[in-house]
Amino acid sequence: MSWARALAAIVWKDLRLEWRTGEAVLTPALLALLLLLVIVFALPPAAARLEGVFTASLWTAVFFAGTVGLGRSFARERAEGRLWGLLLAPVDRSAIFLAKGLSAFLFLAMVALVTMPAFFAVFGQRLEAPLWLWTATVGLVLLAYSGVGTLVSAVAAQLRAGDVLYPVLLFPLLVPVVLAAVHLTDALLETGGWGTARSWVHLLIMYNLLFWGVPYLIFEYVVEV
Amino acid sequence: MPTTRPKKTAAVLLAIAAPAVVFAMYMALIWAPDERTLGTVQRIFYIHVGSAWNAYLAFLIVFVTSIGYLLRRRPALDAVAASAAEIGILFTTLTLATGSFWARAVWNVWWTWDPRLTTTLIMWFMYIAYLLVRAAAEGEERRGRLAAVFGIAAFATVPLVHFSATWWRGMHPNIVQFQGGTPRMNMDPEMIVTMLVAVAALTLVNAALLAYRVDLEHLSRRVALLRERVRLEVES
Repeated sequence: MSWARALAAIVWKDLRLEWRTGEAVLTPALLALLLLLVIVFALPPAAARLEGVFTASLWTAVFFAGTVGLGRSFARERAEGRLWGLLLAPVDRSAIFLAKGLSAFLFLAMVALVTMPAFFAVFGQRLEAPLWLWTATVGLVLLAYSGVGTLVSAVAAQLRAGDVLYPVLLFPLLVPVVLAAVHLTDALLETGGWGTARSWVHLLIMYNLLFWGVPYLIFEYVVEV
Repeated sequence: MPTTRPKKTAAVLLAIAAPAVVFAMYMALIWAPDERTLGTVQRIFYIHVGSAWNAYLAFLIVFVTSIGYLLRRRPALDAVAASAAEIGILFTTLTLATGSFWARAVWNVWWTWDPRLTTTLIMWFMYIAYLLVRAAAEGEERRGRLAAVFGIAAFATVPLVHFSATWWRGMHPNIVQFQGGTPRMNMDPEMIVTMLVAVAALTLVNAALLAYRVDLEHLSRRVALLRERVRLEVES
């Protein structure tokens, strides 16, 4: 089986599994919407209109809700020895990482697609920036998130109480991505472009290269039996 | 069964490190001149920079030994990584604490969300997470492997801390500045010497701590093995 076909097969399997269980999109999306309610109720009415509160709330909800789905990415494979099946497949193991990362990215994108309009509506926020620029920024953020998240998920799945540990292991690595997301989207809403926040784009690109590149190289060691 | 002999390296390193620290303290607290605007509180700087450098160094050791462990699978490399991570956390804590004291005197706050401070705190959490991975992994081989993977990923936060002050221009002082590629220190020569001595002395402390901690790690692994053997003999 060729490398690309193996990759596509794993992504396809994840998508079908998702269609049947709703574990990685439905649950996180629901959680994000619940967080939206909690945040809106918790904020004093005047605070919701303050500059920066919208993006901070949006990303807090998306990042926290995302851990629920991402954390299961590999934990799911541990059950019933499914990972053995993947490891026994005669393909390069980097394909497994890329495929899991790619499906994690697709799931996160779907979660964002559901929750972001709700946030805009509830906060009464208008998007002044071009939609493609917003989409590109969010895409870059979620790509970095899924790279880091997939690596940590693979590690956490092999730990005692890994489900509980997952967010604690993930967030220290993820904080720069959260900061970049907040600063960039803030700039987009205020000025319609990246403006002075541009240096955060560099950080995101660097993070993407790092956390898709390094796991790609060392993934063999992550999933040894 | 070989008996335990106290390792010489650690004792020798400590014997060198202890007077070196006393000497560095003398230079930092008495010999170095007063800073013009900050006054005597600036002397925290020497310990602060020494700790920060050693935190970097310790985490670099984690990084290198982690790569080494994945390639060679020597338990000794894993023991060094585990030890260096703890020492790095210690030095990061010292860096944060001394920085906080200095900030209270100079900025009039204990803490501010400056990029350098924020990224240092992230780095601190990162290596706490590394220790959590070690604690939660079952089996020596798996623990070593997963910790090594995490130790490699965690190192991404180290350059982030170091370059944060240049990338985002916070309020954290940046002593070394570059003018057309050549580094320039905005400091009195006597201060530079004191800083270098403090860095060297704390690096010796780092080395001594590492040597002791690695010995301890080997001892505790041997105890675990012995315990296993006793258990087997009792059961048979």
